[in-house]
Amino acid sequence: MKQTPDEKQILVNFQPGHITQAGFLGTDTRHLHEIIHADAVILARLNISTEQIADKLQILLDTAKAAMESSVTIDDFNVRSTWTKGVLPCPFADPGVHDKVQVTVIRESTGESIVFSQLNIHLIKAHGFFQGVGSNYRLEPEHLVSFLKLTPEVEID
Amino acid sequence: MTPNILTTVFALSGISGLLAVLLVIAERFLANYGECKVTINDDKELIVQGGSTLLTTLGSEKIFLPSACGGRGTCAYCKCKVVEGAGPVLPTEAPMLTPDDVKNNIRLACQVKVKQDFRIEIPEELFNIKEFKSTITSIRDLTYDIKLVRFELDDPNEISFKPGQYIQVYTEPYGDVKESISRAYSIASPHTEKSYIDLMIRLVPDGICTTWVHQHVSEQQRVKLVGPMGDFYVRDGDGEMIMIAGGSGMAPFVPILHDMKNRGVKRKVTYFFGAVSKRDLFYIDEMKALEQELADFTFVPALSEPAPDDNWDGETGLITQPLANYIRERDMSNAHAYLCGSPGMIHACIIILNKYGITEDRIFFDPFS
Repeated sequence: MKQTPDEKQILVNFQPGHITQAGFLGTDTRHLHEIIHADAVILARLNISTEQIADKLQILLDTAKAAMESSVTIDDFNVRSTWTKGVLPCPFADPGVHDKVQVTVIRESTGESIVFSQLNIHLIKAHGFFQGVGSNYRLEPEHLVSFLKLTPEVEID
Repeated sequence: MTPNILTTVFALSGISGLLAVLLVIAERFLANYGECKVTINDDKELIVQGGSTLLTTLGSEKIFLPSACGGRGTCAYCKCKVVEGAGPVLPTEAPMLTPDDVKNNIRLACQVKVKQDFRIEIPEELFNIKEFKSTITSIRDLTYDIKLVRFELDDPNEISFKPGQYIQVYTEPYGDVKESISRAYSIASPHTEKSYIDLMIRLVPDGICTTWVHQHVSEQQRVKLVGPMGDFYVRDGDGEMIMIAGGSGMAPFVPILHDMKNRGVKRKVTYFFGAVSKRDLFYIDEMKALEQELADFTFVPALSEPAPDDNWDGETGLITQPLANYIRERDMSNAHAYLCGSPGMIHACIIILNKYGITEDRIFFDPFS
């Protein structure tokens, strides 16, 4: 696949050691576009939008941040954040930076848990990017939809 | 047919080759900006090779502007006033500039390139920022995820800083990390100790610098530092000082309190330190010692979720609770507040401080971001 110089530079941002220590692609050897496309296909099949996922994660993030590293429960979700020094830019080179906040969510009824970062929300909402397979912060779309108990939005005529 | 294809291939290859040569020539002559003059504060003049960003150009002359994103144009820490020479605002810096910034010729030094003579204005204190060669001489666990790291200064071998300022640590390449990056940390040693600095470094999941420090560095590691920087320091006043911190936000308050002790400051100081459980507390003995040594100092640790075996009989709840309980009963009309920690904690505490009479002009903070 041919790439413009800008695309090549952006792809560098996804590699280990540029923005984060482990990078955003994990062990995934697919091209970035293929990763995004494959996850988009899964969401289309489930009839769930990236906005729905991002909005739900945002609620959990805001709740956890307000609790200042203590755990707090909202609905069925027990959340706790860790907010560390510094900021992260978007690997897609969007303007602005994102606080280094990591949230651990435990679904109290099942004991299942996920971990996501503030940057995860931006990557999902703005780019439909759930990170590569094997990445520390990869969120599997199908599992995420189930975990967050999301259902398709019903259109009202 | 075949000869035609071959002719076309050769012709296209020839044209491509010619264009490549033209590009090289163009870069050599058109992108060669030669020597440029950078005038700083209408006083200091630098003759530099043109073509690099202002941030890089100044850095090569040992003048260091703060930068947290490695020149990607995303942190805006390197904003400075460019009176002349930068041209129109670039698309890469526009999102980070306010209308007031644009009106006042504030630019991102990491984005504008020195292609002609420049006139810039930067704060005088930036000239005190130096590059240090240092050696790590001790690494000590403060908690399960915070280390106290001592850097002996080799060249230059002394540093002058205001208690509360920070310094940038430059990593070495390791593992998959192929480039050096820098991160900022508040200095946690007394400013009277000029031959070394201590930093409190909390492990950030997937963090490049903190992973390096926590997992790849040992004593005798040579490390480049650049600093001191920052304007988080104690302002003059007679009223009570309210200090609030969490986690590695403890760091700047250590030199601040030691300085007050050394100068015999009599101001009343109350320091609220928030942690989740006992395993997140540290420097308790140091703070208790300072309670004896300072004229009027009280340390108030608070645990939001003490573990059953913590046997904790101190303050509990989010740090905002003991803070509110304390200041609502007192006259805070002359008080100053100093905060260091996560933006969430700072935001929540500022609401409490405002509510009970400490106005914004008497609140000073060093957020993590």
